[in-house]
Amino acid sequence: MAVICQACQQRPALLHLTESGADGTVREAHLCPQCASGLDLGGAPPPLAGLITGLRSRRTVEPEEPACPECGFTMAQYRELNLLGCPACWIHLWPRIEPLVRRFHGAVRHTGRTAGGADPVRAALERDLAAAVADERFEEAARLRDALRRQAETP
Amino acid sequence: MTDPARLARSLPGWLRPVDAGDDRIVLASRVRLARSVAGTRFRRTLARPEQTELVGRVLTACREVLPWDDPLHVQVHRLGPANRGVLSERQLCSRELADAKHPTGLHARDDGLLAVMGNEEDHVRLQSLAPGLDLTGALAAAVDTDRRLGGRLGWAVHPELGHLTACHTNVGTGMRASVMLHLPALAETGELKAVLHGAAKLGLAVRGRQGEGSEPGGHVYQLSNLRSLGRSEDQLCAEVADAARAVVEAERLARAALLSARVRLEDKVFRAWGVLTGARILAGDEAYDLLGWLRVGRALDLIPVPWEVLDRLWLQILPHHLQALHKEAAETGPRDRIRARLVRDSLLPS
Ligand SMILES: [Zn+2]
Ligand SMILES: [Zn+2]
Repeated sequence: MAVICQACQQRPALLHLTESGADGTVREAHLCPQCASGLDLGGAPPPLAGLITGLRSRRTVEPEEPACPECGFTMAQYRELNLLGCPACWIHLWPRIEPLVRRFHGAVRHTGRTAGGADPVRAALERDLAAAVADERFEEAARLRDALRRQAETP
Repeated sequence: MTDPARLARSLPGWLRPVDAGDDRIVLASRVRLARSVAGTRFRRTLARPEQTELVGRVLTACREVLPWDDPLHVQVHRLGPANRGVLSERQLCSRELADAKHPTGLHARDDGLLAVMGNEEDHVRLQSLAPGLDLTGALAAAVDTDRRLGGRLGWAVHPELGHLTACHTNVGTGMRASVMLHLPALAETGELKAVLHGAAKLGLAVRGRQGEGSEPGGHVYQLSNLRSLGRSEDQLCAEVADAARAVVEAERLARAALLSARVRLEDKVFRAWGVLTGARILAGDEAYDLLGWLRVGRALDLIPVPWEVLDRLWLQILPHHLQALHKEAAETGPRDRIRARLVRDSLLPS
């Protein structure tokens, strides 16, 4: 889950602290190191109520946005939930996701274990397409063919 | 093993010393991999029947491709709250999965070191735990499980972005490597804040308590990587392990500093011993903190209680474990009395 600092609303939150009060209530703080440096871990809990109020009031309204053709998800929904609608959102909404990825990871290219390997998204689509054709599920096959074509068009 | 209540009596494979000299500052290492099944929508746009189907698909694949004897194999949302709590208290699944109202599945090896969660934030989250500081070992086991499961389910992988996850913060490796640390001496000397902030400045995430939940504190912290893209799994694990080693060194120095004013440390440990062996009512937070000091006392050979007794208690005093073991512990009043009796009986066997 994307976690942005509750105080400055900009930098990634790196400190996630939970405190339970004597009355059983649980408070959480998500802060970046810069904002957290004023926080006393041993003493009183951070003023969360104030931070959360700040968070609500700073949200801005964005103009109409493109939706993912596979699942209908929009960036507005992504900002709300911090979760995408389907794997294809990554491809169709990429221009809007890219700045978020770049800011969070400081990179936009995977260099881990699957790097440079075959493309399992495509492989899975092709496998499903073959199965749909074999089973004479033609609507499904047409949908998969479209998905494959769209995938081929993306960089 | 299909009965979570039976689990409550056992010790998970990660909660044990790695050797005779282990001071238990590092409790365990964990590698979690987030995975998406190609061609399947993420949960927020997936209708409930399809979620049920997804959970079935994941659980079936686990049965078919993971060669584990007698695994725990459950649809978590069908369990009662106490049993779900037992699973998250022993780190077998995330708190999010344990609390979920939507269909969820868990397939875990009986030693608790490997687990596959179905329909969590991502379609699949697999985790690998190891006792002590061993991210390399945890990663190797996770990668093996990932390869088997991915071969059957077909992960959504992009040639440049790697694993496509539901949230942009997990894309790429889909990996979070974390080290669970017990840092009571740093808290006592007041240096904890500086140490944790130092780790955060290196770009690592620090979580208080056990994960993101509200379980008792006891100065248990998790150190993990924040970024999942642009660096290899091995690089990320090495960064977390390096930072963990630095924090462990700081905790050792803090313990040594306390020990040089020996009476102060002895006081903490034996005061904890006094309360734990005498109290008739013990709240969860208090018991967890005091047991933390007994652990420090054990690591420094101040008290002769076996690690196994301390490890078992540390889990069994948690609310859901206590409830799974003693039905009457469902309510706070009786629970605190049962907890006190359990602790007393374990520390002072007749
Ligand atoms: Zn901040
Ligand atoms: Zn989509």
